[in-house]
Amino acid sequence: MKKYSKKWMQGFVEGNLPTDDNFILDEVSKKGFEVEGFEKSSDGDSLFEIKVLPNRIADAFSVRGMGREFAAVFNLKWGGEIPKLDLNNFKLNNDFIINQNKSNQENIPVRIFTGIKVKNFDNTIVTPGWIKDIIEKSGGRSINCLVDITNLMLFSFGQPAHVFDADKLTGKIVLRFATEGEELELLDGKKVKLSAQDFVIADESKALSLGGIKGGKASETTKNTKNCFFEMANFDPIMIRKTSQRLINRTDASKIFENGISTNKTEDALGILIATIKEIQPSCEIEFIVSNKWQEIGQNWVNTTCTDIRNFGGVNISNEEIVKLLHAQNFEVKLENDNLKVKATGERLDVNIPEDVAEEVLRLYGFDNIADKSLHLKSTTAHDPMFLLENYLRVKLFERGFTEIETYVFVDKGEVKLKAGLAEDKMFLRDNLTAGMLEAYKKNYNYLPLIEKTEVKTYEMGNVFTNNGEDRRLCVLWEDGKKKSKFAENIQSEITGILKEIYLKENFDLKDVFVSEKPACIEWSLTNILKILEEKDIAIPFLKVEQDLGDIKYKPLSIYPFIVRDIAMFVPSGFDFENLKKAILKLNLANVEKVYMFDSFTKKDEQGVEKTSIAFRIIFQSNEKTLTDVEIELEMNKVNNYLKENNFEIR
Amino acid sequence: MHPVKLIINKAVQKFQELGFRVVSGPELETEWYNFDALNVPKDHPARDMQDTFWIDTKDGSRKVMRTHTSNMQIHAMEEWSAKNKKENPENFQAGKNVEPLAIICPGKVYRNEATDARHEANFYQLECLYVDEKEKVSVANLKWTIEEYYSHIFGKKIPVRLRSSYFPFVEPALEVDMGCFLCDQSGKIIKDGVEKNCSVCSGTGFVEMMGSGMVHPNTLFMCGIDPKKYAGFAFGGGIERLAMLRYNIEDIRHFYSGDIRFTNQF
Repeated sequence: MKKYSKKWMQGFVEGNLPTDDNFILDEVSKKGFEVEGFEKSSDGDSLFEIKVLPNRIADAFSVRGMGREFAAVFNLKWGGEIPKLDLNNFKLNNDFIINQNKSNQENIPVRIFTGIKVKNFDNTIVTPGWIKDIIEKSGGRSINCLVDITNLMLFSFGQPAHVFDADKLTGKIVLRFATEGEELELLDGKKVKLSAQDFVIADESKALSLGGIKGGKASETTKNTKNCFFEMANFDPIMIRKTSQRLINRTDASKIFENGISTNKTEDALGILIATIKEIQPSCEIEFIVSNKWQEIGQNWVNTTCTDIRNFGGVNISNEEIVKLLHAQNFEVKLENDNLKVKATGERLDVNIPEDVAEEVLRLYGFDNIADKSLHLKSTTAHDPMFLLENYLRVKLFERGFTEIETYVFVDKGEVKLKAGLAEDKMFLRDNLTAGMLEAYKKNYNYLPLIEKTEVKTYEMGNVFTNNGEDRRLCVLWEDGKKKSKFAENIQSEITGILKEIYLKENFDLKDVFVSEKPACIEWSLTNILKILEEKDIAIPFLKVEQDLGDIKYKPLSIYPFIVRDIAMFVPSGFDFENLKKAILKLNLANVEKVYMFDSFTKKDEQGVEKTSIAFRIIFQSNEKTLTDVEIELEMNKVNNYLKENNFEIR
Repeated sequence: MHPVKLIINKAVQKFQELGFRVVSGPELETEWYNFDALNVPKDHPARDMQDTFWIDTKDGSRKVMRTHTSNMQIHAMEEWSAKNKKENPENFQAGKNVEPLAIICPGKVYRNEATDARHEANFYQLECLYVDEKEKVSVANLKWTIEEYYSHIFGKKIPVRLRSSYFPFVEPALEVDMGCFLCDQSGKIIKDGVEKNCSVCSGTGFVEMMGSGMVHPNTLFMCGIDPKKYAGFAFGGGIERLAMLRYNIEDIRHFYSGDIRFTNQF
């Protein structure tokens, strides 16, 4: 995230930018870039934090570029035209550059290389305040006047630049790839070992800098530098990205180059740099300049029509309005009836196809100004059979009291491995659902009181991964923890029962994949089940869940343990537990999670009189801490007192 | 019921009415379907926008756990274009009298990022894609479809705002901000008799939800569809996010913990 100074952007705009910074934030965020926020600097300037995405790094990753964008958004005139400098006034010495790249190379590593040799520059002078201001507000810092000039080019114009101490150079500048193992000490002192894929700017004795990424220490400028060589170039994005990733060296320069900038920009930068040097120190001498271009990267004319733009947006915008919005960005526009030819400004690289032109029109028009338009399609139920099968099973299992869960896909063993995972024990993809289901059962068994149940009935539907590929599975668990219970058969009959509802046939082998007897858990391949149904031409209906989403209230889960207190007591005839529950809740006990009845029976006593006995449970749990026995007893005393007062016979 | 599956069922109820059918596809995907066909080539900075789980394949083939359900756009478009080329070749080439492609895909996606209360290594997305003859598809249609979806999930009219953004597989790319369902875009709620900033939208009236856009011509082309004759829109967003906003769920990790206390509430 970079900061952009309102004061300096204003310098490139004719007419005033809005004074309301919140308004600026909203409008720019809607029409161009996400403005994360803004802050006021000590001199009353506003610094906007703006996210520039890869497609606009080429033009907007600089004060000037962002200023141009602001001008377009607020419909102001752009005042940042570059006065064209007549380079014929300077000595051209392209012999100073030796380009060692083969001309039949697939990706040309350097598209354009410009430079300025300066003699007798007094680098002890204090960098002018305005340059320091731009650098610091853009997130950099002042180093010495020559280096600050290069950073000015970077932050203000978006063209990375570097300056070498010319007296530390041996012979000419050589543009080449490094030799395998070649060493280079960077400006920050870090020593790197280069590979044959890394591109360097060198002299005739050694590598001087990592082209487009970072300068080297050997040729760095100091206060004592008198003669220097400025370099501004344009590098192949893929090459820069690979090198900066490998050497873990990401700089503003490498970020710009890995997204790419136009050669137009580099050419314009040369004139600006010369003008800037001369302004700062008119006494220094520009000995010669270099300017070599091997490839042109820029914008071309795009052909489209106004009707296409209207259809694309679904909006009735006039031809004149379209042209106006394109002119607001200083694009060249040729309109002939409906036909539109558009050429973006030289620094843009993102306007290449008709859809790009449509975007430039519509975003300034305002996407909010596009009214929604309905589609008129026929309704359908031709869904993917696997989705229909799962949905069917899900709704039926829900009706039969089963709860769906999802468990982790990344586990500590399996057939398919990740190259890098989140943890040592999460390097494999699960090859079954049963393991996760059984693991979850351990916790879920303990949670039964909290969900007012005595049996864990869970299922999962998900993908597993083996060397044979991906398979979709269903895993169902049914267990109450009692030694003698055997639920495996019950599970089988539940599933076959559900399937029989859509396919009336007695026995068909679902071919379970895993069976666990205790806890009872069975896993099937849904792919197999689907095959069986498809062989019989079964059409699976799409079952709708009727429950209203608005009726659900969620209570956050507590990480603290819960405490259970059971009370068994005799109750009179006509007793309704709900009344007792209401009364207990009215006692306003602290940390009550649940109150429910879990048992009731009626039997005749010695006198032959029918007596009803119930057992109910109160569960205590806090969201903030573990409750103590003392705290629980305090609340339970209130309950016991209430029951005594109401003449309930506690057993 | 698992809240994600509950929302999916509700979403399908609305989408099938609008004419969209559900498709499903692989979670373990090839690099081509997850990235290249979506106009995200190797060495493109856009690859940094998503943290990927790469598979340690024995034959060196490049496979990933899909980072988005957008891989289904490619599968669906390839199938649609192949079917039309076989059954309706002249019309398909001319771009006339062709049944549009309208699909949704709810599915699991994977991101290689550290987990915390707001981030999990896997989550669900709902992808929507519509492809039709060029003059019949627009940003206005995209807006309408998203509003229908959210309005149905929240049981009331929800407006949507679209903002300029960037993803390589759509042009333009549009961030979708959903009108806040809690404060009805006013930014304020009344709690205990006091007016406060709405906790869901932090007082702004809108919530950032997902990405969308018009399908990039390169992607259409790679699926055998002529971008001069056809256009499409697409969007894809996280379903847990919807559930967490709606029900004020405090931790995304509950969705995958296998905890019966969680799913039992829905």
